[in-house]
Amino acid sequence: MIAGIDLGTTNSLIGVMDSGFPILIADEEGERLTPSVVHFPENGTPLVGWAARRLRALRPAETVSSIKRLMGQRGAVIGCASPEEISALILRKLKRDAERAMDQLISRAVITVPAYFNDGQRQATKQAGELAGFTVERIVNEPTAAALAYGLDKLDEKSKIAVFDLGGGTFDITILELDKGIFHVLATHGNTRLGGDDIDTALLNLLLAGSHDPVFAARLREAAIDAKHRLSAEKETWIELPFAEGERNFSYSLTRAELERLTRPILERTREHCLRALADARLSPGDLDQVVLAGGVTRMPLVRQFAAGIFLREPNTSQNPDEVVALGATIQAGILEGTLQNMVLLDVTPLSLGIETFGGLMNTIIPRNSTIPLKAGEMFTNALPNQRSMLIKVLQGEREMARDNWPLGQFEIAFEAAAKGQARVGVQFEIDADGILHVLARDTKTGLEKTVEIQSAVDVSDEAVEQMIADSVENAFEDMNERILTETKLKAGEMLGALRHAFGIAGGELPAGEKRQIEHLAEEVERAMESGELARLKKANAALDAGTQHLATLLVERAMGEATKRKK
Amino acid sequence: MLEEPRRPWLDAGELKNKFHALTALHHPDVAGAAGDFSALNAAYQALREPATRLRHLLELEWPAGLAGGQDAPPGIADLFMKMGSLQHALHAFRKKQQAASIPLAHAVLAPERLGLVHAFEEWLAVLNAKEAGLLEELRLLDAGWEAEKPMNRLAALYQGFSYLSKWTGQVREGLFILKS
Repeated sequence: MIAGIDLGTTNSLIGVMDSGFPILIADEEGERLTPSVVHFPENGTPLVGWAARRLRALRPAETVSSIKRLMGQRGAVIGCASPEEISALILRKLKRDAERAMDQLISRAVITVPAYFNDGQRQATKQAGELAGFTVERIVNEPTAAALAYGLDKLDEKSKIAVFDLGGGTFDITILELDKGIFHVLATHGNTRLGGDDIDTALLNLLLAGSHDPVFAARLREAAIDAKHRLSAEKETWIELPFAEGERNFSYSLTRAELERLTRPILERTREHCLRALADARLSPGDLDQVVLAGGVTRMPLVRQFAAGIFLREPNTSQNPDEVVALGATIQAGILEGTLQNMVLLDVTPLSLGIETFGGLMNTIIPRNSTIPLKAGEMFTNALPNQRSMLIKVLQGEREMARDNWPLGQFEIAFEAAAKGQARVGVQFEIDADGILHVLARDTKTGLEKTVEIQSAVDVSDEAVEQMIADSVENAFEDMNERILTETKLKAGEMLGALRHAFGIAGGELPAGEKRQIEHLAEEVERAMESGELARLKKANAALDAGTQHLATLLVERAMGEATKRKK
Repeated sequence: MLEEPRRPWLDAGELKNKFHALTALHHPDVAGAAGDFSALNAAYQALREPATRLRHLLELEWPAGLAGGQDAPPGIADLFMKMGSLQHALHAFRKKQQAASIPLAHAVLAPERLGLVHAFEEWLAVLNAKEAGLLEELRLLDAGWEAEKPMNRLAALYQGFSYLSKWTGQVREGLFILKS
């Protein structure tokens, strides 16, 4: 029996196939959702799930949440445990719950990850599964898993769908084609640091209003999260904490409108990813048949409206957004067990894979959104006579410069002694069905193949990392004031330049009074620049920024009017 | 793997159906390690687009044709100049856009941005029309394939398709940048 696991930022779930159907398993308290929270008591064994979550507000310093955000970060340690070890504690609890419910040992698992997770983050997740005592049979992308659950009862259909997956810590958008049981992913994009947590933090900052008491902040965060959930159904709610800070009671009336004002800028960041995925799939919103929602945050009415706005259709809400990914993981487990036939998942690699070449450029070998599993070969030759080896740096990412991409590691290939360009070694890059890279080197003369060990690219000691952080903070404080003044001056200069330009285009269309008003504001910016007083310049900048809002709107409308005329 | 004949023309929809049907047999989830899905995957990726398909066909039938020397189909050279000037304009605009950090500066750039969107959209239509023309030519060539095997024309078409696919990619990317 293979278990399907959604290892989420906020909550985790486990499921198994039961007489041909995926089912999710409840814990001893009867809950299918297990909070991804671990509490480390001073003595004794760590607590996981609801027990830990209840202690989070009382003992925030000993309680770990959202560990998924740190997966695959080299050198990240909380207390004395790595993100993999903490995740393993959550997985082990799920394993126990499932074994109790099914009355048998379960040692194999399918685990989901955000589609936009890179190689390192996938490996870390696999490792967490192994630490928990599982053989990890497959790493599946969350939005693709959601698509499996959505498509389970539509196996004879042919359609194109988008999965909009906004979870606690990560965002993914995946576009797939369903064709008689083949789930063919066309494109995926996302952000592994964008999710419901960001909304909670924005809300907490609003409510805290400058207070720094960590215990109060931890209690308030819980109350704020509950209020956020209530506002998906209600228009207004009270956040109340008795004896919040000593004698004082805390009380705040939060409206849905206010929550939406905080959420909108966070949500706006998903737009570019959606457009990118559509462009990569070479589709326009009208080509899609459905937009499926996954992730708890998609319960918010604003999120649904937003998704509807991008894809020009009402999203499909037939699936439970908290459970759809775990159901999909369980379905994939069923496919691997052989209990589910006529379903195959064809996923892609989210990030381009390449190597560093001359001049520090990235040379792409496998472009993003390539169907996996796949193999790609590359031939390397010696650049110098009798050169015996060559160091290859492997990268993942979309940026032109190698240094801007994620370093996966490096490996060395050995050459036979030969004249320049005569020694040849073929290197095969293989991305497996988990989205994880393997490298094989093959000497063309001897025909010998061997697996290449990739060494971690940045092997910096912990002390060195701490020192680097300390240095950067110190320096930052030293030149902070000077830097801010320089930046503010630059901004002032940019604004004055843009203003001259804007007046040139549309100055004549402004009412005389407004134009004079703007000129006054601009003169004040010039005088403030000369004075070199930071506060005055900031104020003058802000005033000019506010005073030219109408002008900016006018310019954009004018340009759009001309564009429409051109089309006719 | 896909059991397609060595011919220049393939129906994209039928090829995809075949790929999906074979995936159901060869994917490692179904066939285990024995399934050779990577090869099937590579075959499909090579055949689905005309540029890569013709390249593959030339590699098999007439490798010399890949060395160049054939004239590209008429009109391609003229397109080259126009493509260059559009890319240049986009590059200049992006520089300005990246330097703009305030709303007014972005607003000032709006006419230029929308003008470029228009130019790119028109250009995409031109490229698409050109590609449709090449596809028609390819279909004609395919009709007489067994009898003539006109390698020179095939190599020229290959050049045309590979320029066009590169350019449409650039134009799509340009539009994406301009619109987002």
